[in-house]
Amino acid sequence: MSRPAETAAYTALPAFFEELAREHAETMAHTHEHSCEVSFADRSIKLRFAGNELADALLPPFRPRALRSAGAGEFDSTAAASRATTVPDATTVPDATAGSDATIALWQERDVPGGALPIPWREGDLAARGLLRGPAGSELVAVHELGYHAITLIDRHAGLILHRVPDVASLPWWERAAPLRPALFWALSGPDRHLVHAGAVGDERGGVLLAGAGGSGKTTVALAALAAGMSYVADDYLLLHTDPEPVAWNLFGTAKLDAGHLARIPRFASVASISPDPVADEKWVLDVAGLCAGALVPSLPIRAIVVPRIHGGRSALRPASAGVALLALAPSTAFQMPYDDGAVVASLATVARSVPAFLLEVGDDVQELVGAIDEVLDTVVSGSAVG
Amino acid sequence: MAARLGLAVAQQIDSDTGASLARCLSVFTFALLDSIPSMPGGHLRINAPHVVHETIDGETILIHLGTGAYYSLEGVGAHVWGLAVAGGEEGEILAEVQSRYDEDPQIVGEAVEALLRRLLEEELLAQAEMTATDAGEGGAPADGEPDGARPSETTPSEEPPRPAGSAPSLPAEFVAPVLNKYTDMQEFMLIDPIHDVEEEAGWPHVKAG
Repeated sequence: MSRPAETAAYTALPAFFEELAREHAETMAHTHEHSCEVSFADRSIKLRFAGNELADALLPPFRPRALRSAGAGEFDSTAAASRATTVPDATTVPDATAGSDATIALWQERDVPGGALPIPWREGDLAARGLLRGPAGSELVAVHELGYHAITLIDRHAGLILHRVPDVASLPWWERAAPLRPALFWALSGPDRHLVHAGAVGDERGGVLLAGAGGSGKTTVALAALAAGMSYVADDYLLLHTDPEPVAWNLFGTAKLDAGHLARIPRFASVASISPDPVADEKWVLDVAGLCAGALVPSLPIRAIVVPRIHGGRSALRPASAGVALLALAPSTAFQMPYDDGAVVASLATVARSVPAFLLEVGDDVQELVGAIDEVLDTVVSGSAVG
Repeated sequence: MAARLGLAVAQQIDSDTGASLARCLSVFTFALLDSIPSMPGGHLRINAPHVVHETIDGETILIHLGTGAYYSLEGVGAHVWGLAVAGGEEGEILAEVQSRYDEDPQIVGEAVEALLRRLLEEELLAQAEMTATDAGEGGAPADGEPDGARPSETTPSEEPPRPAGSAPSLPAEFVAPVLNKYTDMQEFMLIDPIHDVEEEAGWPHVKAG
């Protein structure tokens, strides 16, 4: 991504980072610490919440990824389970890396005793997706999510990430379904591992990567597979390891459904949840981990890329070029998480070169979609041609 | 070469719904017109770091991280892109493609020139200016920015060659190159407007009342 010359706001970032880390510690002392550890592939991340409210809002999607909760032997996102740890010294900056690959410190502005620190940058200091303009390869990075003014500051060297939100009540619905994506990007991404805008489903034969922009049919196909008892990793976002072979790893135990999904697969209509007073375009959230625990798997080796396109009528499957797969996979990922200057594109091209691709015209019958995924996996395992 | 090629927006395609295919993809085709002047000669370079690209199975995918638009090229277009990425001079690129076909060299040249112009207009390519080394001690850095402002910026001579395995093969028959442009994801690059800032409380606290 374009990162024009360092601004005065970026110059102030190191001091702001230290002050903000102190603010988190003081807020935890004022409330209490709710901490837990979650794992993604071979990495673990410690989440240190100040108070329960934010933890209760953000932790449910991570339930299948939870290792343990501080002071408790088992992860539990309810408030009662987490009042275990306190911070003895309010001025102590959190120990970033003890036992974990990264630590994310989380709190609300409204809980900060004496008032939250003002943000030392302005809109003009921000590049796409709220990245504070600064030199490429910086150890210190900041992302400002302008929709609701959450800020995420990352010390890449220390593995410490600070995430402050104004108020849990202002969290957008998607943050409750697929939370902390900028933080997870910095905590989990690397040369051969990327947060990718894609879904993944499969079975014992392996998985297919569902590639496409929003509205292309990724969730429709993923839900059809889930309803049919296939293994589910994601409908929208996942962690993709690209070396030595592509493997899709689960990030969130949720799926996001719109009215069309509910109409196609009515069995999810009664169990998906939505806000009492939903905003425009808000989606229902399906607790896949809770409702279909057996189907949610930590990972699937990727055998093929499927590019769905909402079509109507009968579904149809046909081979596609690697270029079609990359065109479906790379831009939406690069634009939604542009913090690596597009480095993800080369990795996705490697994946597109390594597995076959198929175009799936998504028809009205969900059973046909399941049949199409089954046919893809049969094809790649047996080496036969798509009928 | 007298430029007689212009740009016509042929159609718009919605790649998201697949139904009307009418909103998101602008397919640019090149029609004969009289209005476009000749391009200045010189080497070309990728508009890094704004632009990332990959060529796979003869199709080139271009992503402009600054504008949110993305593009694809096939056939002759992908080949031209490969030559430009390699730091080719415009005249060299035209001659190279002309040498590959029995087609009227003027037709081939004008089509390639029009594509290069379009790639420049979309800021996927940029004219490579003289580097400090080229200009001698004290020469102006490429694109006029201060030293160090863009640490990942490269000049054609610094651009590493792309993997040979992904080099596109040229079609047997000359087909005028088409730059497919997709704009359905530009919303991701927008920054929400912030108004009514309470100065005392600090940005972005919204002014009460």
